[in-house]
Amino acid sequence: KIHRDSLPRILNHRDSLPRKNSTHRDSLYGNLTQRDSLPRNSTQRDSLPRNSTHRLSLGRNRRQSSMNSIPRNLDRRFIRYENTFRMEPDDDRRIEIANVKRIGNLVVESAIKDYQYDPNNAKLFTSRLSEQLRYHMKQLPSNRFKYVIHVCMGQKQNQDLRVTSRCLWDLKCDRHVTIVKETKDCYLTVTIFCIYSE
Amino acid sequence: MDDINETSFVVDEVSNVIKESIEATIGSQSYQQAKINTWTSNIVEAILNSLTKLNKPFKYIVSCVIMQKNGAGLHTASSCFWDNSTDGSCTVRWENKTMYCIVSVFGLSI
Repeated sequence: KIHRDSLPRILNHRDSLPRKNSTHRDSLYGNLTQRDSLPRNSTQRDSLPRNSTHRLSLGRNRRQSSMNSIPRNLDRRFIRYENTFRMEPDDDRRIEIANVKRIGNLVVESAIKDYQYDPNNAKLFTSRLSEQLRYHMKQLPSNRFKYVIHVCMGQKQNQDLRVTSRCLWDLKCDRHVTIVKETKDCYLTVTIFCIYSE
Repeated sequence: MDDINETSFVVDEVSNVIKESIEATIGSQSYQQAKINTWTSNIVEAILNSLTKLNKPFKYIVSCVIMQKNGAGLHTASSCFWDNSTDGSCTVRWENKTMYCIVSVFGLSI
């Protein structure tokens, strides 16, 4: 008799939870922030106003076919990883600034050797150089870092130029390296930012 | 969708912030070699301050290039290794009669 009485109490408890999307999943994710109001699978897309989420639903349409193996209630954009409980990179993931500087110097020097500034070609040259540097940074063993590589190249014509940058980041883990090289008729400034992301 | 705005990089907002900071610092000035140092620092710091006031969970990198107009060519490129859905960048080119100014802001989500 006691067993039977306990059932209705459980049902009432569930009914009193705030029901945003009227699905069972809400009770599982009830303690998350307001992120769970985003549509989580295809059936919910129709209930939202078309103009605000049209772009979002188009993207999901395209991705739908490749996501058959992922459970339906996982939102790809806001995937929640488990807490690593790390405050800073551990030793095998710490990035060596000397390494970054050495590699950067090597790549830039080999690229700029015997380079004549050519206005038609310069655009390609700078983008290729930044992509080469990014490729080399990806080969480094530390895999928790995001990289931003900024290349600035110009012609030397007795003009003045100043490049400044400021960053808002974590002082302990994030670093940057700047490399400046000059040839007869052009100068090259490369800045590589390495940001730790958990 | 408020959620998307809060956790991904919104280019328009940031671009407005950058334009305002540039106009406020060097809007009507001519190139002066003595002041260029303070100008670049002021622009970059003003942008960073306004970005922090947006209260988003982002790390920012702000980079500013100011060049005197002399007929010389200038090219900038940047390549980034990040998470495409949450991180983004915004570059603003501005000029007046005597100088060019290029400001890039990169936002990386925490």
